[in-house]
Parts: sequence; structure tokens; C-alpha cells
Amino acid sequence: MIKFENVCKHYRKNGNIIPALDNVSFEIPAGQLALVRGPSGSGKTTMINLAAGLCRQTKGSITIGDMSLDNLPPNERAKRRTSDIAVVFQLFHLVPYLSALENVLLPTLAASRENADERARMLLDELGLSERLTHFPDEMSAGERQRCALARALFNEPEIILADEPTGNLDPESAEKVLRQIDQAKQRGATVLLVSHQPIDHIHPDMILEMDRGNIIE
Amino acid sequence: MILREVQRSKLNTALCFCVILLATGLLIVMMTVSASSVDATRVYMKNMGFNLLITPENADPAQYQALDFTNADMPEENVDKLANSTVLAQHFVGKYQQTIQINGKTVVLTGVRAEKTTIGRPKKPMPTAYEVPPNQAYIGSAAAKSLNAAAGGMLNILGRDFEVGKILKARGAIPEDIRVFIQLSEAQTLLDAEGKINAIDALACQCPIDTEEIAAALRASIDEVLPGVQVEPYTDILTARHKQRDMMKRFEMFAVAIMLAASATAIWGLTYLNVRNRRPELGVFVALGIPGPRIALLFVGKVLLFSVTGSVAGCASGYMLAPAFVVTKIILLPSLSDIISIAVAAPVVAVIFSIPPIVAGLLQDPADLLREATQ
Repeated sequence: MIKFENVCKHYRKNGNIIPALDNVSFEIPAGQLALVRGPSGSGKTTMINLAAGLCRQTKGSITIGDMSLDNLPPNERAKRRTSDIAVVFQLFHLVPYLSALENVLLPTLAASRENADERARMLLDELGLSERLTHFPDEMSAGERQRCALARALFNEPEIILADEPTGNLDPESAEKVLRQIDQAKQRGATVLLVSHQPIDHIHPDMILEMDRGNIIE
Repeated sequence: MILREVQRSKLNTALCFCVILLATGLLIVMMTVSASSVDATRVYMKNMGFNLLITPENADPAQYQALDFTNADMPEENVDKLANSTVLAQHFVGKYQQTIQINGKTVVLTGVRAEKTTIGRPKKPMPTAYEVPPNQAYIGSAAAKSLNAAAGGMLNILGRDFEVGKILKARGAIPEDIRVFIQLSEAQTLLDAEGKINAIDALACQCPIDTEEIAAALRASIDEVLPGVQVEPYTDILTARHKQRDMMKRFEMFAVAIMLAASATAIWGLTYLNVRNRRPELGVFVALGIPGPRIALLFVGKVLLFSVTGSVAGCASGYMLAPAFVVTKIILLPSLSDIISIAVAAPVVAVIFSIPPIVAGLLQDPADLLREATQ
């Protein structure tokens, strides 16, 4: 479950306060997929960052699963990102000096896991990257990089998947592969918050949140 | 992972390595050049000769300057008393001197005792302290020319024959170039002055006090051991020695301090930038939930890697190359403990300087760090 209650997030820039999210409330029940749509600057990425505990809200309350993020210290929020929250970024954020396989294995730096290597290979194989195990990010296409980032996100079988424009930089074929994997994760019971400003095929959201200027408009 | 990162950022790592290498290497070169220059200055200053004349209580300095050394003497054991004391001087040569005529020429017959140094502190003898063998005479250059004397020849002094052991180099100073040196005991016998001396040459130490106060301090210190004797510094030599050594010491401190500051700044700048440039990567690690200490270890590990290898290489190359930059005869390389200290200090400094940007990054919202990657 992902629950935002009257959440505000303000940024300060040159002494001015810029509201990125303004009193946003919604709830995504466990196992459901919510699609967040809206133009650039409408607060979609901020919503993902808040749900992932990558930054703190200015006001309001956020609950992920059965735990409130509000008073969790940074290390506890980090633990949650290791165990049950996964984030897929629009810009992949792969570590440039690690191979595809090593990037997928990065979460083991936080918590070791049995058969980690086997699982990483399996995920990369499922995402069509079995030929790219030893390739570095700059040796892969944008679609391959995003699939690699998705494999990394799915490595620990998260209960919550937060995907920020995961197909934003991909060709239709790669986009389809990524969305199918996200859909499969949902089928396995994960709760998904998917941000996209493009039309999404191959996936059927349980709810759609339309955003504009930091507000949910429908 | 650290090695992987190093492989991917060869240029950056090489630059970091080179800065540490240069910083530590140049520091060792600078320390060598400074220490060698200071030591060379010490030797040059010492070679200027004694800078202190101790004369008997009743000696008339004006008569001494006029080469009249009669009517004033003091016991020979005064030399031992000084050598056994803690006066602010060392290198003592007792002498008995008298202006005499040899073959119608005026010379200063000078009986000298072998140099005594402060007890417990063996030192190289002063270059102007002569240890004349028995039955020999060392003759000043002007006197030798006047007497037409040559090494190996014989010279009759007050009715006794002496072999000319050495013709001394011209000093350009009166009466040094008209002195005829023989053993003190022989001079005492010839001049009927057994157990007596009428001057002690000494070298005032490098006192840690102001030049103006040196003479007064020396007098006071010697007066405690030999009350009443007169202490006349050769002011120009004393002051030049003091000022020159003081200047060189300051130069050494300044040069080493500047080099240390420059090295530390270079290391700080580079390690800071190295970590600063990797902030988006730091953000990825934080976003993946990797614990802060583990992330810090990854970053510090790289800093340690290039700083340890850089400092070891720098110390080794600095040690090997330093002699090429030294212009003095004696090369004083830093001690092994100094080199080890530098080799250890450089990585420690590098790690310390790398910690603030790492901690700052870890304390920042990961979202901000990731945003930096997109800008």
C-alpha cells in the first residue's frame, strides 16, 4: 500500500519557495498499479522520491506498506529501499564502471542474498540481456540500460515498485519489454507507482492520477 | 569495485596519484635542500674562525691590538675549566703569544695547545686550530715570505731550531699572517712562562637569543667560570654567524612550511574534487539503500589506494632525486623516520580531506544527489 495524506513538498531556490507537491492525498492499495500522468514539472518525480524516502516531505504523512516514513531516520529509510522498495529511474542511474551483471548485484552490498549471482543472471536473461552480462553501461543501448536498471530494482523482489518514466528514453520495443516486466511484478503482488507522461500500452493500471502543478486533478 | 572504478577513471586516478607523488617527493627534496643548505652555512660560518677572544683580567685590549702581549697572563688550566663547564661556547684553544724578532723580522710567536671541546661533545676541530707537532713550527704566510721560510726547512726561534712543518694559507688578517705557531709547552719554555697562557680563542655557540644580547650573555656565562677574565667577541664574525644561521633556519622553516601547506592544499583540492565529482554515484548507492559506512569505505578506499601508492612512490623518488637539487658538498637527506612520517601523513591527510564531501553527500537527500547527475 502507498498512502499520501495532505503531502506538501516545497523547494527553496534563490530565497523563493517553489511548491513541487501541494497537499496531495491518494492511496494505492497493496497489489495495485497506479499510473501517474502529467506534464513536466507537475511533481511526478517528487512524488516518486518522497515515496522512496529519497527526500522528506515538507508537510503531510506518507505510509508505505505498513510503515509510516514520516519519522524514519535516513538509515531506516535506506533499509526499506534495500528490502521492499525499489526505484526505477528515468535516467537509469547505473554505475558506469560496473558491468550489467555487477550493477544488478549492487543491492548485495546492502544485504547479502543466497544465489545472488544466479538470480541476477536470471533477471537479466528474462529481460533479454543474457548477452550483455559483462558489458558496461556505455556499451549498451538506452533500452538495454533501462532493462538492466529494472533488473537491479527487481533483484530483491520488492513489494513496492516506484518507476519514474521508465520508458521515457526507450524505443517502443524496449518500452514494451520494460512494461511487461513491471506488469509481471504486479501480477506477483507488488504495488506499483508508475510515472509517465506518455501513453502507456501493454499495461492496465488499476488507477490513474492526473497531476498538474503539484496537485492531483483527477 | 574500487579497482573497477580506478580502471574506468584512469586519467583522474593518475592525476590524483601524481599530485600525491609530487607533493611528497617535492617535500622531501625541499627538506633535503634546506637541511643541506643550513648545514653548509653552519660549516662556512665555522670556517670563518673563532669568534671569541678571552684574555686575562689585567690585559689591555689596546696593547693587544698593538701586538703587545706582555704583562698579562692567566693559568693554562683555565682552558680545562671552560671545557668542563656549560658556558655558551665551545672549541677552546689556549695560547701564549709574544711579539718577537726572528732574523730581524717581527713575528708573533704563538704557542698553542691542542683544541679542547666541551666535555662530552666531541666535535671536529676548528680549521684555524693548529695542533703543531713537537719541534715543528707552522708559519703564517706573510711571516714565511718575510723570513724566506719554506716547508721542510729549519727556523731558529729564540735560539732553538724548529723544522718548518707547514706554511699556512694567507688569511689576510693581522696578526694571523705573521704568526709562528709552535707547541704551547715549547713556547712557554722559550718565553719563560710555564703553565701560563695569555689568550683563549673560543667559538661562541649558536645561542637562541637576539644578536644584541649575545655578547652580554657570553660574558655573563664565562664570568661564572672564570671570574674577571675579559671576553671580547669578534663582533662581525659573531654577528654574521648568528644572523646567517638564523636566516637559514628561518628559510628552512619557511620553505618546509610552504611546501607542507602546498602539498596539503593540493591533496585537499584533489581528494575533495575526486569525491565531489562522484556525488551522483554516491546518490545511486544511497538510493539503493547501501549503508553509509559501506559507501564511505568505497570512496575512502580509492583515496587510500592512490594516496598510499603516490606517497610511497613520492618518498622514494624524492629520496633518490633530492641529491640532484642540492648545491652543497654535504647532502643531508631526511631521516628514515621523517620519510616514514611523510609517507604515512600524506594518505592520512588525503583520507581526512576526503571525508567531509563524503559525509556531506551521505547527509544530503539522495534525490538532490541524483538530480545533480541529470544537470
